Amino acid sequence: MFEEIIAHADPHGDHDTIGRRLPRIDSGKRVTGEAIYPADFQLPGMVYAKLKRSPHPHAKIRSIDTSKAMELAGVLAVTTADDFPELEPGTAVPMGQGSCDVWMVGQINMARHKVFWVGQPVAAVAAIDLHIAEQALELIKIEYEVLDAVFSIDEATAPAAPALYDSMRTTGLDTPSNKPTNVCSRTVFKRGNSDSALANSDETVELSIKVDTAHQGYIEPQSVVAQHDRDGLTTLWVSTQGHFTTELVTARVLGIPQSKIRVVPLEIGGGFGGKVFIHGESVAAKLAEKCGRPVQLIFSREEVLQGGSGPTAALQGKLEIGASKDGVINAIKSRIHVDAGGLPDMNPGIILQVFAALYQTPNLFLEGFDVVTNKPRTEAYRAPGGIQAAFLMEQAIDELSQKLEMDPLEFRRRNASVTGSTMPAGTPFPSIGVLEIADAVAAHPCWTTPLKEGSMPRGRGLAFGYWRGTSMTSACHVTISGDGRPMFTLGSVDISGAHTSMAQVAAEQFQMSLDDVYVATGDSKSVGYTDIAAASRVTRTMAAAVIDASQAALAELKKRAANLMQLTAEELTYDHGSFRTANDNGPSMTVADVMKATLTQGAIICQGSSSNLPFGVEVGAHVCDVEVDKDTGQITVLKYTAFQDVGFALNPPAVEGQIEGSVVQGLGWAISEGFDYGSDGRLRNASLLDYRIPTALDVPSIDTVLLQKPVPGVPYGLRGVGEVPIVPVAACVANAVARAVGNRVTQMPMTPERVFKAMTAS
Amino acid sequence: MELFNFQTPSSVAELLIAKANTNAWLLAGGTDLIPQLKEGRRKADLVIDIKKIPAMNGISELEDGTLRIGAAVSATAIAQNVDAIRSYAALASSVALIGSRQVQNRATLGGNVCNAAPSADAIPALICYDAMAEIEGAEGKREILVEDLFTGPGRTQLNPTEVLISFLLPLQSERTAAAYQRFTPRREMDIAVAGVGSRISLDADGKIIAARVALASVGPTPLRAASAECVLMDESPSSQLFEEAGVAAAQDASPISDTRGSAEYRRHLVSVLCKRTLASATNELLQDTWT
Repeated sequence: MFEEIIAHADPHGDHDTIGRRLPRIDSGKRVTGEAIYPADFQLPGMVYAKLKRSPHPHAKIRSIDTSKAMELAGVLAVTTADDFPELEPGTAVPMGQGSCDVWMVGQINMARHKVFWVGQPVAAVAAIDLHIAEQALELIKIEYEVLDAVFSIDEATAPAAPALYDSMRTTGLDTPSNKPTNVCSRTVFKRGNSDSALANSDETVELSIKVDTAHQGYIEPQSVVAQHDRDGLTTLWVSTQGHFTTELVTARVLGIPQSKIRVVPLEIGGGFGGKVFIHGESVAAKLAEKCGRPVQLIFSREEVLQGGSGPTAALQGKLEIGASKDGVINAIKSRIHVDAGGLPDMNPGIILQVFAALYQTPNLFLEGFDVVTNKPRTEAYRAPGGIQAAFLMEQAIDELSQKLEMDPLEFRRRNASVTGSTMPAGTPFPSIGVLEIADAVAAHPCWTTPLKEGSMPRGRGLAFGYWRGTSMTSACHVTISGDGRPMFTLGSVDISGAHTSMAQVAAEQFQMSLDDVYVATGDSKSVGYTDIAAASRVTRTMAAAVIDASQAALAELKKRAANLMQLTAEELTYDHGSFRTANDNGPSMTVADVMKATLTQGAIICQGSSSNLPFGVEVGAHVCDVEVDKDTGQITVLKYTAFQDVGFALNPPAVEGQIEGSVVQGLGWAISEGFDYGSDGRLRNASLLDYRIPTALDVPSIDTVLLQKPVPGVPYGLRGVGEVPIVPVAACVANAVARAVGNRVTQMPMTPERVFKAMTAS
Repeated sequence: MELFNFQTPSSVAELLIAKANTNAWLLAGGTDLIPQLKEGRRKADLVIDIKKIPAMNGISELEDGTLRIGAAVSATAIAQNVDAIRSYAALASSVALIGSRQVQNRATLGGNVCNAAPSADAIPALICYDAMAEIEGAEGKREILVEDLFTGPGRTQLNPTEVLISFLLPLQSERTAAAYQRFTPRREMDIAVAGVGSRISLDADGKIIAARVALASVGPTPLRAASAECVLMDESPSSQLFEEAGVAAAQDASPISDTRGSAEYRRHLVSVLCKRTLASATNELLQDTWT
């Protein structure tokens, strides 16, 4: 079916909706502030919640006394873990191709028995105003038994390290051990014999790196409004990447059936992976139930950074890579440790892919360890683990090309994966355009124009990025209004322009203008189950669902038109809002007339869904020019160009915006963003003053170059777009710095002080 | 944020009465105070808005050529004032580094000084120009050098009844130039990891007859780098000389290691910024006729 649609929707064809440069259809309300986020949302009688958070990084909770807080005038409810059912670790609900551990999410919402990081919630209050809620927090008395804590991968894996979990044993070891450990799991990908291949290589490079924990940096803190009505229905108004996941998880954490909870997604002010899990939604719901009033819970920025939300994983690792004199890679061997934070199971498998995707090698040994530390449980961030892994892999590739005295683009080309090459997991690659991107870079002025001399050292960097993304499931339905216009309800939230791109798809399907289609997200009770808006999946899979629903609705309309026209459906064709016969002078009927005549005979409701769509493998290449202040180590990025194979750009400015935004986030982490923990386990830079997200002045002009090599079997040939453009950024900057000053910076972020130390070390 | 009372006096006399007997904090631009109150780092029974007091607002030139800047004058107003730009360029440019453009529209010189952060961007330039602080309190008026105002991080010599009314910047001699530079990882919305202000005055022969080097973010208070100034006195500007002054200034600094940088790196930055500010001031006086 999709092959036909691709043929119909030829990117080079004549379309007035898809492929056009369009502003977002809902940009007006976002720009003016009219868009409603949970922090804007008000209900009559609403009261305000605050969370009491752990001051200790690792402690047993001996007792919690909330009586004094309850006595304070204006306090309406207090809650602790005692109000929630006790779940077993491993209690799972479905999420995408895997599952989500509800015990783990429960711990993020409210600690039970033990705290594992500074900022983990231990109690909560609801009061008539925030001042009283804050005063009440101080009246909650908690007795802790403080335990020794570990704050880094090195500390957590040291021989005498205190164990966070008595029952934890490393899974995946060749020889299982029965000793308590902070290493949750070991994941291995291997083929051939990398050790002997490395020994027989003409040139080898060995590189070790460390990457600090970073935050997704969404501008909207976590926020929710909860209501528990007299008939026992809980409604949550949320900011989330997936309201079905919110519903599944919250129901389990509260121990209520899903028939008693409805989740309404409001606008989301950025998520980037950090708003997949819940972070207080269950607590707000419990408080609303206990006090009988709607409850609003909004995190402060400090709470977001100091343990209230999941940042993304720190990583350290080593990579060895070997090649023959003519530039063919013989072996790749890597060992990485991922810092999952205070709760286990941050699967490093997804990260290991980065070492074995873009380039082919007969000998491979990749080993990843998942480590727990007394820091906030980490969560996803835009191609989770990709930028950290590429900081290692793409620097090693660059270093090896220097040793081989080979052009770094040519070196990559000689080893590039092509369609049908082996993917990390051993299966063949679907359509992948590494060589096409290399050709585009080779022909572009950002690569061919010589770098101008400056007063300080300058260098040009190149790095490639890979991300597989995934598909999961998406659902929508369409009804036809009385004037024949299609009204779509989607199961996914709009985190990056989905309403606009789906309106484009709907308009293209119905051959109508954008103004003739209605597109909105339904709440968790008014549309079918749809997975989270993550993994570069929404546009591709929801387009498939919208096409599915559109085709079904057009077929139903055609049947009705044929009846009215006393013809058979086969005799009619659909053309820009009308059904007509093949004969140009024959009868025709508009969809408006069809609906006018048949509306009261029954609604047209057609559903569309998509699951297991082929992967929209993402590949990008980045080129940047930097200048390094040799006296201070400060990096200035002068120019940045990002190439990406997007399959097909439904709305080019939206695609370019995803790439530009990714590059900005990548530059932030590459240069200035990183969590800095003190020896007491507290984050020392828990504000946006000291957690330095780049400002407009810190970011150069970013050029984007879109390539369009369609993926077979996917509508319009769409690829994932939003994740891969962050993957190569830090390596690209590091490679530019290395070429400018002759030293590699192996710690990320590459702060001025770290760059200065790297420059003066030799 | 806790509840507090709020007053808006229209004269210094009314202000001193309000300030006399309570735990009161003055509100000018509020860019430091409001976040401090919100985050519970300061508690106030009374917040007094000083923006309606004429004596604390406005920039004027006195008869002897002194430039008087009210404590409640905004950073933007100073950065755009022609007298400040002409005669006190290092001050005009340093206040334009505070926060963002929006912050500069609110933040005031008095606030930046009285908040007494070691990293305050406006203070090194004030020290370089030998600025005086005009203070009024229950026991009357006094004037002291801005340099002598600070007793520790967030602390000044002002007693609880006293208010800083204005700054007095003395007329500078001919052939004087100054510059302030700070080092921040971000280009705006950031706090100096280290900052250096330098002023030199040359005689007719081109010898340095007055020198000030003031440091930010490398001690418990803004500091004067006395040994760097000694290195400069009676010498002719040269890169070699500024290199030596930078080394001396680094020794005058007493930085700590924190999330913004290590003590060692901060000392190094002081030497770099000292050299660069001295070169900038010298370029202003001699164009490119020195080496």
